[in-house]
Amino acid sequence: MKNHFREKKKQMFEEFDAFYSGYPADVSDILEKLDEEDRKEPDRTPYRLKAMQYRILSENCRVKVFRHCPFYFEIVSGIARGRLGAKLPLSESGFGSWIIERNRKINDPFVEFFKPYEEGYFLHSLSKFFDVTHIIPGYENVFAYGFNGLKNRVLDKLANESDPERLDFYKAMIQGLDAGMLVAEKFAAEADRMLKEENDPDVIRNLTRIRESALRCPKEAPRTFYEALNTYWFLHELLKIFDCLSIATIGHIDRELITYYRNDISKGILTRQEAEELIYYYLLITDGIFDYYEQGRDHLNANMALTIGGQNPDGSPVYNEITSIVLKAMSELKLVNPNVSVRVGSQDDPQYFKEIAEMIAGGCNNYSIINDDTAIPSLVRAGIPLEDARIYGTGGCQETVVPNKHHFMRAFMYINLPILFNMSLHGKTEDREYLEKLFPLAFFNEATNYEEVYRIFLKNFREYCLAVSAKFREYAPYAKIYNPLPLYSTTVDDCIDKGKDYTDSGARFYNASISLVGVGTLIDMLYTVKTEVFEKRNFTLKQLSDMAMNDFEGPGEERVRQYLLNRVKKYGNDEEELNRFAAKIFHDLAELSSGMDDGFGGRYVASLFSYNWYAKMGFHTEATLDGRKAGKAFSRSIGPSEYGKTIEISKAIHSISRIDSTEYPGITVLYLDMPYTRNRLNTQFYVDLLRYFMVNGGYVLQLNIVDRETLIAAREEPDKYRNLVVRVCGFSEYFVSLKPERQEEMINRNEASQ
Amino acid sequence: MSGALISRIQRFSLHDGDGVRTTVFFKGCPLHCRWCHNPETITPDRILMTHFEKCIGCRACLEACPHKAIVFDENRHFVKRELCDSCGRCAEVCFPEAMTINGQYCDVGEIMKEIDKDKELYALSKGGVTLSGGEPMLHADFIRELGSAIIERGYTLFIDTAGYVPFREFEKINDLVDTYLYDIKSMNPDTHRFITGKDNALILENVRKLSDLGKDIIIRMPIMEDVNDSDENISAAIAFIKELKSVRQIDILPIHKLASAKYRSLDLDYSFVEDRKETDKTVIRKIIERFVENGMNAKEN
Repeated sequence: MKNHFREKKKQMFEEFDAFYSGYPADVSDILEKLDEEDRKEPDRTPYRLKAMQYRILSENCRVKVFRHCPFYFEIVSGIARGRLGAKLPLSESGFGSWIIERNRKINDPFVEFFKPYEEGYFLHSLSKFFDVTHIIPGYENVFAYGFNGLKNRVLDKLANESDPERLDFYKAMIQGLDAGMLVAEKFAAEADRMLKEENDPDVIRNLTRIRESALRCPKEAPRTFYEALNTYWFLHELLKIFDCLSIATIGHIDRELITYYRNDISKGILTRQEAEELIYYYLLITDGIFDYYEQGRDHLNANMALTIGGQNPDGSPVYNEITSIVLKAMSELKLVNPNVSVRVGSQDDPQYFKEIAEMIAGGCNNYSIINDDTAIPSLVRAGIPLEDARIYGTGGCQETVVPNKHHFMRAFMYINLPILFNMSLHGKTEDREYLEKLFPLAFFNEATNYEEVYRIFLKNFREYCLAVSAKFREYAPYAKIYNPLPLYSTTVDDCIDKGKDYTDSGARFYNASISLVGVGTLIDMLYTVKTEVFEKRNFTLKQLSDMAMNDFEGPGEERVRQYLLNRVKKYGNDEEELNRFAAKIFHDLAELSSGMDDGFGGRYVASLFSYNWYAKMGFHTEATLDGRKAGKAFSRSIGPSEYGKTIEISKAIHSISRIDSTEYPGITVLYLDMPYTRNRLNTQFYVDLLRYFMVNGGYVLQLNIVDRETLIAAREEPDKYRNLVVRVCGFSEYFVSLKPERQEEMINRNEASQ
Repeated sequence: MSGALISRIQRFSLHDGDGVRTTVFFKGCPLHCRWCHNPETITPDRILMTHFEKCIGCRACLEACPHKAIVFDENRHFVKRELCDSCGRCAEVCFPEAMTINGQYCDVGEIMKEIDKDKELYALSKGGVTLSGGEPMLHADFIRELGSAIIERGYTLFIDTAGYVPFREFEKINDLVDTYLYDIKSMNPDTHRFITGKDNALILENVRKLSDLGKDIIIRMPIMEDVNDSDENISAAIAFIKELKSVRQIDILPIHKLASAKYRSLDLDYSFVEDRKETDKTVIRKIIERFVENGMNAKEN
C-alpha cells in the first residue's frame, strides 16, 4: 500500500474510532415517537405500520458525514458498534428494530420452541424464521432506475390497484423510497453545514463531492463510478436500518461496476489510481466501523461479503480491471473484513488464476474460493435458470444466492449429526423425551446388520428434516406480518409487478436449506459400525455404545478407543473404499434433506455449511464411535474429521473426488489449514492447488495459511501479534481476539495438518 | 511381480523437483550422512520406531515381544535395541501407534495405485514422480519395472540420488529417467568421508558420466556451516559443475534440525546436528550469489 494511503487510512480510522466509541447513540426520543404513533392507531395493517416507521425514522434521524471518508452512509440509529442489526434487544440494535420488538410475540414462540434443542446442542437456529442476513439487495435495480425510477414503477401499479393489501403495500413502498431520498438530502445538508467550517482543502474536496452526489443519489441512477460505489454502502446501511435487516453483502463489484469504471476512464474523469483509492476506502470501511479487537469472541457479530470474478448472464467471464484492483488491495490491506468470495471457473483466464494465487501468497486470510464449475450447476439443480445462476453472489460467509431476485434461507438451521447418531444408538432418557416431541425416534438396538442401522439412521434423519422444515413452514405466513420489507422489495425483481413483498413470495426464486454438521465424523462412526460390529464382530453395538457413553474411561477402554481411532479406516485418507462409502452417505443426506416445501413457493436444498457449529456442537457432544473423546470438535463441512490424525492436503482433496457437490446447492466447503511459512511456497503452487481442487469437483475452498509456531507465539504474546488475521470458518478474525478454547482448537487443527 | 522395501510414499511433495510430485522413499543407503533427515531409510531392513509420548501404558507390547526386548520403566517403555530384530509384533498390538514399523514391502502395482491418485495434479502442475530414499539406485532392477509403469502413464520420473553406486546401475534405467536430483556433499574427499563415511570419487565420476550422456541434472548441495561451506569447497564445486554439460539448476539446501523426533524414535544420536546451529540464511544467500556470479542457476530449496 502506498504510503500516502496509509496515512489516509489512519486518519479515517481515527475519525471512525472517535465517533463510534460514543455508540450506541441515544435515540430514545425517536423510539418514543414511534410508540406514540403506534398508540394513536394501534390497528395499522403491517404495511401501514412499516410505512409509519419509515416516515418517523426519515423525518427524525440524524446522519453522520466523516471528513476523511469519501462515502456517505452512516445513519445514527442507536445500533451498538460492531452489530449488523435485526436483533434484539433494542439497546443494541437501534430504532430499526423497533418493529421486531413491537411484534416479538410472533417470533418469541418460535425461539421458545427450539430453545430446549439448542440447549442440548441438537440443533441451532438463528432465532429467526425468515433469513434477513444472506440476502443480496437489488443493487443493480437501483443502479438502473434510481429511487425515482422505482417510485414511478410503483406509482404506475398503484394507479390501477384496488386490492386493499396491495394498496397498502405499494404505498409503503413509496413511503420507503421517499424516506431513503430524504435521508440522502440529510447527508447533503450535513456536508453543506460542515463545508462552512472547513479549511482543509482535501476535506473540502471530499465534502463537496458528497454534497453534490447526495443531492442526486439514490434519487437518480448513479452516473459515475464513485456514485455507484457509494450506492453500495448507502443502500446497505439504509436497508439495514429502515427494514431491520442484517444484510451481509456489499455487491459483486467487478461485474456490476465495470461499465461505470470504463466510462469514467474514457471520459477522463477518473484515473486508475483514483479508482484504486476509492476501492481501498470501500473495502476498509468494514474494518473501520466494526471493532474486531473486542475480546473473547468465537463468532462474528459483523461479517460482510463481497463477490468478484465469475460470469455474466451470457456466460462470458467477469474478470476485469476491477477484479485485479480488488485482488491487489486484498493482499496489501490485510483486512479482517470484507470476506471476499473469489469466483473462478476452469475456463477463466490463466492470468486471473495467477492474480488469485498472488493474493493468497501475499498472506491474505479473508477470502473463499468458489468453484464456478460446481456452483453454477448446483444452483441450476436448485431450480435457478442458467443465466441467473451465472451471476450468483454470496451473502455472508460464502452462501451462494442470486442477486436481485432470490431468497435463499441459509445458515439458519444447523443440525448435529453425531448426536443424532448417538441418540439413535442409546437414547438417553432425559434427552429422548424432548427429541421425541419433534419426531418419532427409532433405535438401532433391533438391527441385525449394518444396512438396517444405516436405514434407521436415515429414517431418523429424514423425520428430523421434515419436522424442522415443518416448523419453519408453519411460521412462513407470519414473515410479512412480523417484519414486512416494502423498501427492500422495491429493489427485488417481481415484487413490484406481483404486488407482493419479499417476505410474501414476491421474489422470483425461493430456496431454503438445513445445514448438516459433522458429516465427516458421522461417516467414521458408520464405518466403525459396519466393519467392527457387523463384519469383524469385534464388538457389539451395545459394548461400543456403553464405552462411548462412559467417554472410554473404564478399565481397558482407552486401548479400545485407540484401536477405533487408529485401526479403523477413516474418511479423508483417500482410500477408494472409504471414498465411495462416504460419497454414498453424502448423496443420501443430500437427497433426504432436500425437497421439502419452504412455505414461500420454493423448496429445500442440501447444505453442508457448518459455520462454527462443528466446534461448538462438538464441544458439547459426548464421545463418538470413531474414538473421538467427548467435548472435541467435529469434522468441518465436507472435510474429514481432524481429530487425532494428520490431514494430508492431497489426500483430503482427492477424498472428495467421488462426492457430487452439485447435490449441495447450499454449498460444501473444504477447509485446509496450511502450516506453511509463506515464503516457502511459490505462487504457481497455489494455482496448481486451485486447479486440483476444481478437477476433484470441490465447491468452496478455504485456506488458512499460518504456521503453528506463529499461533502459539501469538497466544503467548498477543500484543506482538495484534494484526494476525486467521480464517476461522466462513469468516476471519484477529487471532488475539478469539476465545481461549477457540485459539486452542485452531492450534490443534493446525498441528493435525501437514 | 518383484517388489522393494518402501519407507513411505509422500504425496504432494513440493520440494523434490518440478511441480507437485509424489515421492517414493526406498530403504537402504550406502552412505551414512551425519545430518541425514531420513535416518529410518538408511537401513535396508524394516525398523522399529517408538513414539513414547503416545504410550498409554497398556503393556500389550510387553506380552507380544518374543525377544523380551521391551522394558517398562515407570509406565514408560524403552526398547533394548540389541535384542530387537524389528519383527513388528509389538507394533501390531500397539493401537496408540507408540510403536510402529517403518518399511513395507510393495510391488509395482501397489505403488502405482498410490501414485495414480494424483494424476490430475501431475498434469496441472507439470509434476510427476520422484524416487528417493535412502538410495533408490540400490534398487535399479526394480526401478526398471516401476519406472516403465510410471512413464507409460505419462508422468515424469525424477531420481533423487547420492550417486554412490556402480555406474552400471544408472545404465539400467537411464532411458526412463527425465531428471536426476544429484547430491554433492563436498568436493573434498576428506570432508566427504567425514560427512558420509565414504569417498566422493565414484559420486563425481558418475555425475560426469550422466552429464556426458546429456541427462537433465539438478545438483543439490546440502550446506552446513563450518562443515562444507568453505570458499574452497564452493569454488571447487563451481569449477566442477561448470564442466558438466547438462546441469540446469543448483539447489542449495540449508541443514535443519527437523529430524530430532525421528532420531529419538530410532534411539539414534543426533547430537552432530543438534549441537550445531542451523545454517544461516546469509550463508546460503552468499553461496547462491557465488554460483549466480558464475552464470549458474542456483536457488535455495
